[in-house]
Amino acid sequence: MIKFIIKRLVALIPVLLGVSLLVFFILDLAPGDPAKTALGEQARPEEIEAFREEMGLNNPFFVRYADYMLGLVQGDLGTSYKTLDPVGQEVWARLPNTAVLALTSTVVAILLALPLGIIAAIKQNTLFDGISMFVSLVGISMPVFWMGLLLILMFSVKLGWFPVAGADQGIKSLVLPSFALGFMHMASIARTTRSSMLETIRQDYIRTVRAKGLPEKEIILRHALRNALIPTTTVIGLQIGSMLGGSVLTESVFSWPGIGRYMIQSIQGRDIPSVMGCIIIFALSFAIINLIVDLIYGFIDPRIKAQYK
Amino acid sequence: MTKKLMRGLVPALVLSLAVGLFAGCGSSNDNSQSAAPAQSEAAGSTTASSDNSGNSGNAGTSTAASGKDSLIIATANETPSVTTNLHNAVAGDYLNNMTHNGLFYTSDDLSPQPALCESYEIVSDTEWVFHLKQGVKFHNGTEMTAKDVKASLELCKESPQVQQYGNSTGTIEVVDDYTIKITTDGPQSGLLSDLCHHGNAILPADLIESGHDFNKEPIGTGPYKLVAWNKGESLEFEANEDYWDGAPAIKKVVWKVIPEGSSRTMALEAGEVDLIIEVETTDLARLQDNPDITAFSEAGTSHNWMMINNEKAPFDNIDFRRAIASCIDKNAVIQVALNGTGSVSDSMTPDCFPGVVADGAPSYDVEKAKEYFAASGLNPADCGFAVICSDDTKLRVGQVIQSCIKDALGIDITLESMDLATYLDVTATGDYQAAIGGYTSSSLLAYVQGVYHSISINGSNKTRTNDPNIDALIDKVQTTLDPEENVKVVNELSKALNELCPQVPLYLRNNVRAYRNGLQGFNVNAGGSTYYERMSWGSN
Repeated sequence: MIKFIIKRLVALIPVLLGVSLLVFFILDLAPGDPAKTALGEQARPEEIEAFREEMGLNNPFFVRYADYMLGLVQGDLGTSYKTLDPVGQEVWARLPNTAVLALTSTVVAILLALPLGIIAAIKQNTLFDGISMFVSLVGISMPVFWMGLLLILMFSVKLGWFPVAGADQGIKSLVLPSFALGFMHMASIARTTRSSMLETIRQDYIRTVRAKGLPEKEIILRHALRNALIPTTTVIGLQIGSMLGGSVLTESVFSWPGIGRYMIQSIQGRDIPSVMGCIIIFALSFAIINLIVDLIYGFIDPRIKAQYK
Repeated sequence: MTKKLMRGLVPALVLSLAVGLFAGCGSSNDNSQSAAPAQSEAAGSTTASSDNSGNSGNAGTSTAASGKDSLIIATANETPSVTTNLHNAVAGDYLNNMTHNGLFYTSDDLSPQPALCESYEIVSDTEWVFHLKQGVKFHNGTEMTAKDVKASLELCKESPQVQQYGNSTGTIEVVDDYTIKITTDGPQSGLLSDLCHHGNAILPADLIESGHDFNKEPIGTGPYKLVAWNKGESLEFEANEDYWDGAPAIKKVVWKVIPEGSSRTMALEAGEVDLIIEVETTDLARLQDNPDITAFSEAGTSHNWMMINNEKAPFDNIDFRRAIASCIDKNAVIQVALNGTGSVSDSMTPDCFPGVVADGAPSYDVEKAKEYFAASGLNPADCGFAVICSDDTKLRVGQVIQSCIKDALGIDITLESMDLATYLDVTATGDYQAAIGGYTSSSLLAYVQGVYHSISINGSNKTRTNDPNIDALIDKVQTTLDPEENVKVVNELSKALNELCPQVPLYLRNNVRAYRNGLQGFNVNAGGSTYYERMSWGSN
């Protein structure tokens, strides 16, 4: 198991190198002069030139990339062109907020999706199935910013239960954004759970345990669900990854001080070190989450664990 | 047990979703119903009057009638920096006004008024002597003296982000602890306006020399001190009880960053914030209908236009430029793009400055537009051009312009969406035909130097206007120190620009704010500045 983890961690290196090179290259191609954007329209040509020199923007592409990577391996994500502060400082100030939102949204999504998916499968073609799938259809169809605004209108403006914006009221601040984001991701988890459960409960071994007279609850929760969870776990892992980088709209609607919003502002301001820093963190997080998901497979299905060498 | 739970859970979920949808629809209806009055309002009308007297004194230290002594402000943008010399962002300017003072500040009528300066003398056309207020303390307790002023003004001149506000200060000499002398490089009528800018805010000289991180701990002489900056979320300020002009009545101010316009509106409605800086124009009518909220909408100096590249055909033809400027229904632009929160502008410079006139500028007249176009000798089929729109509001402006030009002159124009950084780059380098843009300045001299002087080509002179007569008149505005004479030169310049028609003025955007009733002393000058130390809470 440890050997497997080490192998996977080593495999992260080429992934991160590839991602960083690709993003660095794309940002380099993007129109707009970062020096002019940082200093403003009124800056004198010699000041723009001095800024370019100071930030190494006059160096050839591969020299700049090598400098960046050299800093990265030493834990330095560079200096923001816009704020002139270390990018690491900016990113670390926001990353915990995004991580908390992603995790709580995942919990909300799982708590909603698993019961919905399971009920839909075991009550296939009944009203429950229809309602479950309707709810998940609504979740997947409704834009998250629209869902967010509806939640704010009802629970903040009309009922006054939760704050409209910000992260300064602890759990109360977290409830609405987590629900909005979780509800959206619930849909695909519920649908995957349903189809996976349907496939599992038609297997011969389920028929066998049913013939042995085991209670239905035990058949579903102990025998069927565990096998049905493998594809669901994959989807959940992917959802957490996408929530880390894809929660920009939720962060904007609820003014959640996360990394997604910071990245969008950085892209708009051609703040290349900040964009690079965010993407490196996203890529790393995504890869680690995938590794964790792979490890969880082993606990769900011992046959997979046996393959970890 | 699980079955029971599931039985309850599913209907509950469906029910809550349905209730949520109805709640949303209800509000949406409210919104659309109340949107109608906003559209019928006259452009640029004032929807709330301020009880601010315009003096520089504070609201006082007396306990507010309501007992409330904190203010929560919602803003769309987070400043990149709070260090006065390291940014030229509007969002940062608002905050710097709270923590710092300059020698002068911009008053409600946009004229420079003394702040840290007690008095001044113009010794000659190029020599100014400033006598400083005595006993003014920085937030760290040290007293402000002339050496701090010299170090701060020189810092501005060396900082790329704000150096344009340091160009006029020339040589700075310390005469004694409370007197400085500025010798300008030729007469500089814009000196006092430049001294109002946050780039010239006064900082402690010893901290400048020691390389103090002002972004972490801004030290100024202002009415508030920054106590916390929660990145991406909020900035918290506390009153400076030793403020030289009296401690502010509001003891705690929090700026919350809420980028989404609808969320800002709902935060105000829910009582979570007290004041919105950037009000969504589509929400204005709804806020006006709310009895607990005061909406404020007054003309500002934000001048918006369709800028056209005068170096490229067909815009190198003056008759064509005048034809385009005459065929656009600017009232329609204001209604569609701003929901009525603006006023028509025909003049090439913001109308709010003394001396500016609309004489000679094309106004909306389709027949006249056709005459100009006929005089240009151009064929409509050869005159199509692309207009860059870098956000949704500009796109709506572009759509109205597209329709007007097609209807009046039969010319096809295309709208090109572009992100802000690319837009700034291509328009600065002249690699474009037309774009929707704007410029905001509290000083007419800064405006004309930035927008029309040939020295700003490849910078903010995006129409690439290169006219020796215009340059000479702008230089004359800069060097004419006598206020009455200066207004006459501005008048001459304004007429010359209107005749030249280097771009298509559209509107002056209103400064729109909304705040909870009970907030007293609130005001915004045309340049967008608000002085929070003048505010207090009273009864609703």
